[in-house]
Order: sequence, then structure tokens, then C-alpha cells
Amino acid sequence: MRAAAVIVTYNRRELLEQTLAGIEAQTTPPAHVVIIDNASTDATEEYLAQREFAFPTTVTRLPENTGGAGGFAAGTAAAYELGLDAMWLMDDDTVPQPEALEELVNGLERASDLLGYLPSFACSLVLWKDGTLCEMNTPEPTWDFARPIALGADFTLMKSCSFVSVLVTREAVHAVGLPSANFFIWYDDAEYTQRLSKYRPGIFLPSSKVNHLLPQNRGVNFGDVNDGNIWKFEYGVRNQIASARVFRSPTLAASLAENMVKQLTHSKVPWRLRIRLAKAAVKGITFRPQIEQPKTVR
Amino acid sequence: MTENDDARGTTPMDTTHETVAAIEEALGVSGVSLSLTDHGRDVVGRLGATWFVAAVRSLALAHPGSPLELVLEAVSIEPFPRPVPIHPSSAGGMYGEGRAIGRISVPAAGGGSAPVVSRVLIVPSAQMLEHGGGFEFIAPTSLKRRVAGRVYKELYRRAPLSLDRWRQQRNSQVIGHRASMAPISPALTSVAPERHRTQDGRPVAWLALHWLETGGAESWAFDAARLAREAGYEVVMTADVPAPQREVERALAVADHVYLPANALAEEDWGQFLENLVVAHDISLVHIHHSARAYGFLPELRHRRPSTVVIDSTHIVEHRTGGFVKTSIEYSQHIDEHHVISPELRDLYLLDSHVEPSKVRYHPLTSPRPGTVPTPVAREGRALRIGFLGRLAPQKRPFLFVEMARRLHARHPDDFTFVMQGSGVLDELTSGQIARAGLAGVIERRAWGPVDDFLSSIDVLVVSSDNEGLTLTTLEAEQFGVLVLSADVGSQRTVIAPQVLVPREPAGFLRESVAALTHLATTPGAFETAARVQTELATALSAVESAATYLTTTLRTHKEPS
Repeated sequence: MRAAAVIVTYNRRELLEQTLAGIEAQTTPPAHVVIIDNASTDATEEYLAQREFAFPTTVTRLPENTGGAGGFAAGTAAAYELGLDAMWLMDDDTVPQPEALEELVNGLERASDLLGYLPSFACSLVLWKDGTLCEMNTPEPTWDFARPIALGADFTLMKSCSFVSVLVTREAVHAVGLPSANFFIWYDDAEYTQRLSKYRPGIFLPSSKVNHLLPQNRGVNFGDVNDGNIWKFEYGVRNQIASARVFRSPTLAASLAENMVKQLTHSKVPWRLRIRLAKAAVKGITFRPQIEQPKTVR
Repeated sequence: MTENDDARGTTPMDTTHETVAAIEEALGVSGVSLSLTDHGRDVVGRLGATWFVAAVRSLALAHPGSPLELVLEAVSIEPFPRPVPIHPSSAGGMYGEGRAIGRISVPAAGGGSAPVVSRVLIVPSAQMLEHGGGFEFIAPTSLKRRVAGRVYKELYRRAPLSLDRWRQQRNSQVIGHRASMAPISPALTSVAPERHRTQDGRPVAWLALHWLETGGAESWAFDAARLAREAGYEVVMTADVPAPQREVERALAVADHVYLPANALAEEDWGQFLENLVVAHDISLVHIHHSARAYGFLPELRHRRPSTVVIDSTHIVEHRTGGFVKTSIEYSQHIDEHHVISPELRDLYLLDSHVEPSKVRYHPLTSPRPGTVPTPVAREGRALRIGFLGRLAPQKRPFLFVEMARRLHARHPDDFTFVMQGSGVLDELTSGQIARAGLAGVIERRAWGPVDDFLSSIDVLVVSSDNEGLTLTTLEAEQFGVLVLSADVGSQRTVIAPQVLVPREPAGFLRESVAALTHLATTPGAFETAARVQTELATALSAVESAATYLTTTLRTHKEPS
């Protein structure tokens, strides 16, 4: 299986260096590296222009910041057009441990033999800087996640995960299309992997490990909303409601509502911000995720 | 590509005698009778004895031991009708109508006593061979279809853009056929006696073609025949569909046996023909090039000769039906290897239809000995030379090229020159459109001629087709150092620079092709940028093993020890 590493970066040059170093230290190297520079305004462009890469690398600088969603849509499309068998998606603050890709590739092959189909994706165990579980990137299992365990496997079935080290197969991208670029940020990964898992479930491989270099190890919590980060929460709320509509899944909307109520109750989030979140949810009712089909070039 | 050659240096009467002698020799009989009208003599003179041998021997193979009686019917309009049974004694009226142009009687080989077989033999008229003949968009098989065909033709003449807009919308609406392509014909598990070759030890390859006309699929089929011969195979070639079969001579240059059952066999003859073909020639390998008859025969072939190796080559997905690609996939379980010429087809077989991956071979029709791909260079200080190359057929949409030329010439008369090379069923309609657009002195028309001469006289080749695979013409142009602008159809994006890849639908095609060509002609560096990207794409494609190299290896692998 020939995999392309797809990295989306925006104004995090130092972290990107660590990500690239992690990729170059892989025991199973990627056949190609695709870097999407989301119109960074720091020194990323110059850094990428002068850096020597250990593997064939394509650097695409987008004319404007399209968010993680736009970047992963562009990167997945580029890797697909290169004719690769799988796309290993990650943010620019992800540092894969040396066996991360090897474990994902081998795991998919084992799963294909065991299950009789190639899962649509394989995701890694995401750890924080200190080696503890990264709170933000816990994948969500399918209702029958333990089925492979009963067959003696070392992986479980997954319904969704984040774009922090997930290997997506070409076959699955062909079947369901590219990530939705117009989500811009947040919930784009959850929507895409849920879309993939409706085609075929993904798998979680704890033997593939990456470190996510977040400043704090904390999951998404509506109690943390403030004037500086409200815009991300608005995207997240809108995108999750839109996904609930597209997937015809009231439980997605209900679980969002439950989280919001639980986390906002007794929080110090001002009402004007709570109202903005409610407005974002209303936007989600009519928001149409854009799904492009990948194009075969090679 | 050359124009149909009718200068054979022999008189019609020489050819008539030659034809009789050739049929007698090919079938091992004596006493063949041939009667021809003046028109018939003209046609026989133009087609040559080998054409008739290829047709008559097909019927003889289907009916060994039977005397054959053939009435020659001349046809001027494509698509050709299928041959039918006829009693020559009741065909008198056909002569008066100008349809019948001759008779052939062939005695039974070996004095057989089987019943007489009488058929119409479909031949192209002299007018068609000279001028290309007429064309019906809708075969006039009923009054309703005749009226519909006339309306369609009138629309094509008066409003080709509106008609094409409707056609492309219709093509785009049918998107379900890809998902519906699946290997539906179940595999057969057969127990059959081991077969021992009884001939001289040379394995025999049967190349089954759609027809013997000019085209990308046929060009590859002729190359495949040559490669099979070079690999030590005896080559048998057949054609499915009634047509002028203008490429018989080209087929005979690469095949040991050429059959034209399409023009001589009635529907009821086909089963026996196919059965006798594989037995008479002891076929050990079948290579299907767009042959519906061969696909339909595969289950029977698997029963009778399960060890026969079956390969097929596919080129293009028809918009609304899937065409031969769909047939190929449906019969996949009877086929050992699918050779596809583009990555789009590879993905369709593997990802949409889930054909067994080990069977699918993607090998483009690139040169087996790729050199460096030259980067196109536009000549400085003069008009950009824009070219169209190919059959003037509906699929190629010559009217779009003419309309694009009209718009470019109206806006930038000094920046462009235009040349169209090729002929075909839309010759007359295209000439009319050029005249109405006032471009008679602007677009240079050329008949078929050497491709290299044409390519050396243009800077940009325009591919306006509404459907393609990965066109041979594009690959040839790029290898020659010509920049190619193309509609985004099939796998063209594999070799076309994004800045000169334009939409398929006609309004978008015209808008973006005019803008792209204007940019190339008027913006310093634009041509060079597009040329550089094209060279990168062409170089990447040349890294994929070519179809010729693949087939040579495969033929050698499957060749049985002699």
C-alpha cells in the first residue's frame, strides 16, 4: 500500500518542523508527502521553499486560509490525483512516532484479511506531549467495535476520529468523496470519518502512536467559550447540526444539545455568546456541506 | 493515417478475375462465379480481391460443405444494415433500385452436399468509397426513426450548440451506470479433455475487433496483432459490425487470417461461425478489442475450451450506456486480464466495479521506447497556429472547433491561424458551418495526411470531443512537442495542463478555450508555463509501462511451449 502523508499547516512553522521530522523518521516511509500551506503569514512559505525533503514532496500554497477543512480537502485531492493507495492525514502539530505509519498500513492489511473488506480508514492512538491520552482526539467506536477482538485481532471498529493521524484508503475516498471544504474548521474530521464509516467502518490501532502538541490537554468544552475562541465554537456547532441533517441523525443534534446544556449550565459564559452559539445552530439547519468528488489523474 | 487508396493499378476486369481466383484459392474450390454491374465492377476494383475473400470465407467457415450464393448490396449511408438471408431468384427488384450490384456463387468445398446458403453481402458503394457517403444520426429503421433522424440532422445543421447543450446535459444526468457495472456473468467451472495442439506448434491468437475502420481502438488492435506475430503467434482477426471496412489491407499486413463476418453473416450464422473459428484455427488466446460478439461468446468458449487465455482492451466509457467497458466488466469472470488504457478506467474497474485487482492492467498507449518528452515552444512574433485533427464525427464535435475559431478570429484576427485535418461523416455539415461563419479563407482544411506534417504546422492542438479515453492523438502531439488544449473528458486531465483543460459542456468549452488561447497568444510567458506543466504530466505518464511492453510480456508468458 503506497501512502501519501498529507499535512495541513497554518502559521506554525516550528511545530511543522517537528511534524516533518517525525514523518522522515518513519520505519515505513510514505511514498509521497503533500503539504498544504493555508496561506501562512509567518515564515512557513520561506521555510518550505528552502527545506530539503527526504521523500518526493508536493507543497501547495493556497491563495487564502481555507481552514483545516479546506486544507484537508485540497490535500486529499492532491494525494488522490497522485494515484496513491491511501492518504495519511494530520495537522501541523502532530508528531508521529516512528512506527506510526507502518502500524496503520499493516493494520489495514490484517483487517482486510480478517474482515473480508478493506476498512475505510485506520486511526492512531493520539497522545499528548507527556504521553497521556490526548483529550481532544479520542475516536468514537461503532456499536460493534469489539467484533474484531472476538476474532483475535488487536484493533477495534471505529465510527469517527480526528484528522490527527488517520490513514484513509483511496477506495473509500473514491466512494464517498473528499472532506467538506466549506466546513472551514471543527467537526470536518468527525463528519468526514462518519461519512467514510457509512461506506465501511474504520479501525483503531493503538499500536500506531502519535503525539499531538496542543498547548493544553483539554477536550472541547462549551464552558471554555470566550470572545477569543467563540468563532471556532460557532463553526463547530453549525457543522455538527448540518451533519446531523445530512446524516438524518437526530441523535447527533441531541448529543450536541446535551453537551451544550451540561457544559454551559453553571458556566461563566456570557449570554451574548450563548446566543451566538444558538444562532450558529440555526445556521446549521440550512448549511449545505460541499462534497467534491476526487479526480483520477495518475 | 492515409486516405483510402483506390489507385491499385489494375483494370476492373483484372480485379474481377483476380477476385474469383483469390476466392477459389482461399476456399480450396473451383468454379466460383462472379457477375457485376458497372457499379459493382467499380466497387470490386476499389475494395480489391482481399476484401471479398475476407467476407466470403467468413460465410464458408460458418457453413462448411455448403454452396454459397451471395447478392452484393451497395450501401451509401452509415450505419450499415446487417446482412440477411435472401433468395437470389427473388432479388431482381434490388437491381432496379440500384441496391444490388452483383452476384457471387461459390460451390461447396470438397463436393459437400449441405444445403445452399444464400445471403446479402453488404458492400460500400463507389460513392461512399470516393466521397465518404452519407450519415444518419438515427438509423432509419422505421418511419418514426426516419422522421426523428431528419429533425436531428436539421437541428445539427442549424443549431449545433443548442443541440449539444441538451446532449451534454443528458449525458451528465446519467450518473448511475458506473455503479451498475458489475461482473454479472458467473464463472463456469469446467471439466474438459486436455487439448493438444495439432498444427505446426505455432499458437494462434484471435483478435476480435468492432470493425476495420480508422480509430484509436483499431490502431491499438493492429499494433497488438503485430506484437502477437512478433511473439510467435499466428494471428486471426475478425470484425463485428457492418461497415466499409476500409482497413482490410492494414489488417492483412499484420494478421495471417482476416474475416469480415460483419458484412456477410446473417444473425443465425454467427453462432456456428464463432464455434468453427476457434476449432478451425485451434485458438489458444483471444484478445478482444471492442467486440460484442466475442464477449457474448465467452461463456461458450469457457465450456468448450476452458484453458483459452482471454484478454481484453478497453478505451472509453460511453456516457449513457457504459459501452464496451460495461460489457467487459459484466463478462469479467470469463476474462483473464483486463488491459485498460487510462487511470480513469483502472479506477472504474477496481474502485467502482470491484473487479479482481490482479486482473486489471493499466498501460497507456504511449511509446514503448519513450525518449525525453519535448517541451512545446511557440514561435515568437507570429500568430498562434491552432489545429484540429481527427475524424469529422459527432463524438469529435468539429462544430465547436469552428465556433471557437469564429470567436477568436472576430476578437483577435491577427493573433491566430487555424487548420483542420481529417474527414468523415460530418464533412459536408462542417463545410457548411465554416461557410456560414465566413471562415472559408480563415480555416485551412486538409484531407488525411501524415500526422507529423500536420503537427509540425501547428502550435496548439484542440481536442473538442465530448468523450475520449486518453487520446492517442494527444499523446502523439505531446511527444511531438505540441501544446494540447482539451475538453475535460475521460482521462485527458492525465496529460493536459490545468490551464488548458476546459469544460465538456459547450458554453463552458467555448468560454474557457477562447480565454485560455487568448491568454496563451497575448500574455508573455503563458505559453511556456502551460508547456512546462504539460511536459511534467507527459513525463509522469511515460513512467508507466506502455501497452506494447505489457502485451509483449503477456503474450510471451501465455505462449504455450511448442
